[in-house]
Amino acid sequence: MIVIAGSPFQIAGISGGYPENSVERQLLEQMSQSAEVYRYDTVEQLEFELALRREIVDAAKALNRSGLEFAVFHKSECNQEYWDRTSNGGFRLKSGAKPADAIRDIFTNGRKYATECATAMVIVYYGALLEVFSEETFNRLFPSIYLMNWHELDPLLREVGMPRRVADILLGDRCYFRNPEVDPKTPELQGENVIVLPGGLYYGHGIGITDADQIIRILNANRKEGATQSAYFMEDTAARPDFKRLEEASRSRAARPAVLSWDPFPPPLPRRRIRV
Amino acid sequence: MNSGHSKDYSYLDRIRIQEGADKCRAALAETFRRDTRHAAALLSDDRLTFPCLYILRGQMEGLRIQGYLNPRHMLALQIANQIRGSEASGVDYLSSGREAVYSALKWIWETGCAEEVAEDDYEQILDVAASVLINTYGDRDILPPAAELIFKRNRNGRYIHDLVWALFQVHDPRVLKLIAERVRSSEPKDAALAAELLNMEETGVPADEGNKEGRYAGYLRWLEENEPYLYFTQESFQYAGRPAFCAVDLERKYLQKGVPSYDKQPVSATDEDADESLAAFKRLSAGEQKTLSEYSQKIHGKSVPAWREWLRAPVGEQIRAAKAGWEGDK
Repeated sequence: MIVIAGSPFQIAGISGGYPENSVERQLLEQMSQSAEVYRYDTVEQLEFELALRREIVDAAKALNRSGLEFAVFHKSECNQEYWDRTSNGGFRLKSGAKPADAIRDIFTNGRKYATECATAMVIVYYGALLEVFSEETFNRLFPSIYLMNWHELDPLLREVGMPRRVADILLGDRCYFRNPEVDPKTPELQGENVIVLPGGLYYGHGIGITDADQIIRILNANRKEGATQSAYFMEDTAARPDFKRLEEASRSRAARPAVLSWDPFPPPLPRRRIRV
Repeated sequence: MNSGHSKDYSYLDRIRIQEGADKCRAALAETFRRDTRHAAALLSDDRLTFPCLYILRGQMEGLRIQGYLNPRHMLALQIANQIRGSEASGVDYLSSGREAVYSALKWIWETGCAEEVAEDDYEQILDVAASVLINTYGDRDILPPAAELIFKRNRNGRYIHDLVWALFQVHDPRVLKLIAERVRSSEPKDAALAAELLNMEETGVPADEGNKEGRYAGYLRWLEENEPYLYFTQESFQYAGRPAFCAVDLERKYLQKGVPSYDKQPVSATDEDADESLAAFKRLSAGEQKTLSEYSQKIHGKSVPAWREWLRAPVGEQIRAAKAGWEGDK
């Protein structure tokens, strides 16, 4: 059920604006038929979430096509034109590099990059946000980017590193396949972070776009000797960005509203100048 | 290097430590040129350390003298190459000959973690060695040095997530105690990481920066109180930004039914009344569950008959009694 400003929302009012079988249509139908109540203050808030979820799905597909390689953190690689590889295998936006250009480069020059599945998820989110925000807004909101699984996430994205119990798994959710008896030689296969795609498919970096059975088969093939417990999909948890906060941030002219609203003293630092 | 221990090091290690890796490689090459047998003896010296073998690996390949290594060093080199991804044979050296593999891994770990080479390949070899030693061979002796290495690497901004994962795979509260030691560290990065790994925010132990010893003692008290109900969650840094590596099973604490395995296992009540209480307990909010489980622990410790009577009451009354009880304490 969808509730906007306290009243039940009939999706017919907006669903016609989206193509048949589109991500947005599927989301609207699933949310409106769910026993869970999805609350929004405005229709624009709902539309923002639908748009961002669609872009997350598209960004996952684009990253899968990009040629981005799989590598454990010890062997991660990045294009040093835009990123500095940190000593723990993460990628930090190079001083002077434009955030939007640096993120876009991962999607266009994926073969220059190698990382593991969680960092790929974070890249998907940035790629999606680059599509829903103007470049100026993106650069303003994310002046410094650090890519290293869920470590040191930008405050505007911190929720993507915090899986929670959910009533429904929705398109664009970040979910997890757990491999409880993974081979100790390959800790990177202790699980697989995935983005939920239409058609019962998932994008997991290193595995590609496939269904749950195939992901479980791959994880099971990398269990320790004598393992009896299968890998499994964690079907009641998902991580989602705070769509409402992102929507609010996109409208705000102030830099980093979320951060500033938490800690008004001492006075905010001058906004970092982004060269355009 | 501590000169008092220099006699314990191999010839090649002494050169490596005192004069550097390049001089060590040159010394091996020069010895090999003059006397192949002597070079072979140097490489098979039982006192040789893994860091020395690691820095000489390219030299050995160039000179084609790997065949002169003793069996332990040869297997260690093969394992290291397998982990680095440069072993083309396709043989899984980590799965063959358990005793020999254990001995080689133990040597890699023991001689390797004392002085890490700050290189990704080297750290990955140690990470896998620790993971296999702990999870395949059940070696608990390496837990303290593994914890030490995690904090050391963290201070230097190096990668720790796989080592942390390996450590928590043990499902042993000893790991928590090892980490808790760092809560009272004078190094702020140690204390911060320890608090993060122990999920101290959830324990309710006050974050008093000025009283590290008090915080450490508070955590140990929390651990003692909750250990019977503690389970390891299998969460990791791959799964979440702030993983809860272990948690308290509130249902078990509420029923005062501990388990020895530290894994999450379903709990059932012992009688019909408690069964109803448990069903109602499951429907409560997380905060109410915490309150009730803590109160249950408290009155169980004071009087088992009083606890039984309390547990038989409707859950609404239990909550009222718990709140009144805590208020009374205040």
